[in-house]
Amino acid sequence: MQPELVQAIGTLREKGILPDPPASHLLRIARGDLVSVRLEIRALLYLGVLLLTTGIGLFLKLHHERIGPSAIAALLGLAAGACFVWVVRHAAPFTWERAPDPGVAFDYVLLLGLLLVASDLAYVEVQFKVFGPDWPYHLLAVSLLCLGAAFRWDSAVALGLSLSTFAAWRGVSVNVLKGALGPGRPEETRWNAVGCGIVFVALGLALVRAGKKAHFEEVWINFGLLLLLGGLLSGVFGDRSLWGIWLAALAAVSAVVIWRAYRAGKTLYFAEGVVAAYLGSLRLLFEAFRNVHSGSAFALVVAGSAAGVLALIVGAHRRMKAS
Amino acid sequence: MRSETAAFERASAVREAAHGWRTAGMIDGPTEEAIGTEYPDPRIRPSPVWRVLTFLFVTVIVLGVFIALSLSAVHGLTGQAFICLLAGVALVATTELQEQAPSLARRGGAGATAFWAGAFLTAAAGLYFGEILRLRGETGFEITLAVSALLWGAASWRWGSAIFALFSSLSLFLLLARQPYGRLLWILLGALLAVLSARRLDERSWSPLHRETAAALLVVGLAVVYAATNFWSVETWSIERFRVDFTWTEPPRAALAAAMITTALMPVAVLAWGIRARRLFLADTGALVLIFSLVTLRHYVHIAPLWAILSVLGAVVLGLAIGLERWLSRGAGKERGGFTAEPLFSDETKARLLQAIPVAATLQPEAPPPSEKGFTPGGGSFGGGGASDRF
Repeated sequence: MQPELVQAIGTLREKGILPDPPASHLLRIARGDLVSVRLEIRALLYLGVLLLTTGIGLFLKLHHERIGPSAIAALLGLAAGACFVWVVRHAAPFTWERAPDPGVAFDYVLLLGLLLVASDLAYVEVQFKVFGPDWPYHLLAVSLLCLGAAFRWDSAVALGLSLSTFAAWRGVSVNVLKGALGPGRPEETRWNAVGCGIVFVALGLALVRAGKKAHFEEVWINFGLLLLLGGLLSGVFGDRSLWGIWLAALAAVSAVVIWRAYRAGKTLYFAEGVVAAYLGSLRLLFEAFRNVHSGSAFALVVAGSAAGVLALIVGAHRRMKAS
Repeated sequence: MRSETAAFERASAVREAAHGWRTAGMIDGPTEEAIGTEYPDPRIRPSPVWRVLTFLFVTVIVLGVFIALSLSAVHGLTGQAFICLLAGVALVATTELQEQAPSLARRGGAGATAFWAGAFLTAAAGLYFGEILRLRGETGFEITLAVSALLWGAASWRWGSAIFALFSSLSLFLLLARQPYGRLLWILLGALLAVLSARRLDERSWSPLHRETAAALLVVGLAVVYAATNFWSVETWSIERFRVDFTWTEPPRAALAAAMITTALMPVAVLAWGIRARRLFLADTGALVLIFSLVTLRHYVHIAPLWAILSVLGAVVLGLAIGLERWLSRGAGKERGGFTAEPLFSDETKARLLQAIPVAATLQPEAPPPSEKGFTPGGGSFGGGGASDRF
């Protein structure tokens, strides 16, 4: 129960500010007589997909030799097919706009189908070596499949999977918690991250401009900025000889991101630009203090620069709110 | 908490609800504005992104100044303790000043300074009792835990933070674990905390932030009782191991039998309580401890291989979620027993977009290693789309 709300709804109704309906319906919710379990259902669906795909993965790992590759590939295909049949039956007609919500389970059944197809493709590749030495191409195939599914069935989840799988094809991991861009050679991975980032941001902006699935903008741009700024930061801190050039590029890109985000009122892009620019500037401070053996002076300069950025943040928020 | 802050928090709860009603299309813009006028809150409350950004940069400033002071002006542990105390007191004052200024109170800066105030004051206590006074045995550490429990508790009460209450209760129960009969103390005080907190969940005289804290403490109380009565915990003496003089003995059979019963029954009881009271945080807690109980069961009873358990459980959970949504949606008014699968006032568009984050973070495929000269295909990661494991 929310006592403030219960009291407020009564007062607002008495004063004629809140009509009835919806006052009595809102009162039920404020009293806790009606609660939504949508978040819980969503969490259960995610958990179910996670458990099921992990279980199937373990099963394949342990028994793939005994059952035989053709049978396993067929079984995975059948299971994925069942998911897609369900998806097709429950999907809304295609539109370039936002499709009507088909229900909370829809995205997760689609996700399960896509993951099963992805497993199937990877399994077929491992067993039958379709692409030969270019075996990572199966990741590109999965990425394109997910992209098609995302557009057809209006699924941000499928789009996220598509973009992360595309990045994986280029040897880049979008999981920032791992602390590294990927397992490959740093220079190559860095350029791949920057390339993927530029492609994602450009495609996101182009789709918004064309009015085609414009509501996916945040997925395209956030993934793109994560890779682009992450790649540039990796150059700033990982390239011993050319770090200055990487820093200049980071400063330029961050400035554009911050400015465009500020103008458009997009707080998350603004934050990504500010954090990347600040982290990059720390490299400059490290270099400046390389021969100055004063830890306290360095700490004070770091604190001072953070205070400057904080002032910028407060000022930008004030102006964005005013405009 | 200042009475003015509590009043603003109450107004803020109404304003936020009105915003949700407007988003859901239940009221129009002028009605939301009229409600805003009726329940004024002069404090500036930026979106979570701004608040996190402010928190991060205030943290950098605080730590930068602290490190600079520590490196230049302090020698020895006494000096360090003094600097921690000084920084803690200064940050308490800074937090109070921010709390009184409507333009600063909810920007994220007050949260950062309050957090670091608690951390520095706890560190000062730890350095003073543990390193400077050099109290015998583990006494210094235990006094520090007691001080930590009091400090975070006071901070939680003053600034209305459920997270600080969690820190406080963590310190308290860690301290209790180191006492004789620690497990019994966990059960008794955990149950007491749960009972006292449950009574305050709808307390009108408390501000919304304090009621949130009560809810968090109820979860802590239940978690502590479960941790003390779980079969694995009893069998391995997991709580008693916090004591310095712990020696392993065979756990009593009666305790194991009781633990077996509570491990099985407590999740169901908490889940049922949550459903009956229509308090989702309680039902979620029950579901979470149910998972722990299932993991405990799997630890002792190998009824099937892991892949089978995961697959069956995954299918059951998926089926349960889909069935639950369908069952609720087919009820009169798309609800049954006071539960609905409809979003009510949450922003469903944003929720669908946000789903992409955990999926991409946890189910993305592994990036393949770079190709080497003479490389033969087939040794890479299996499971494009992150579906499964390696061969």
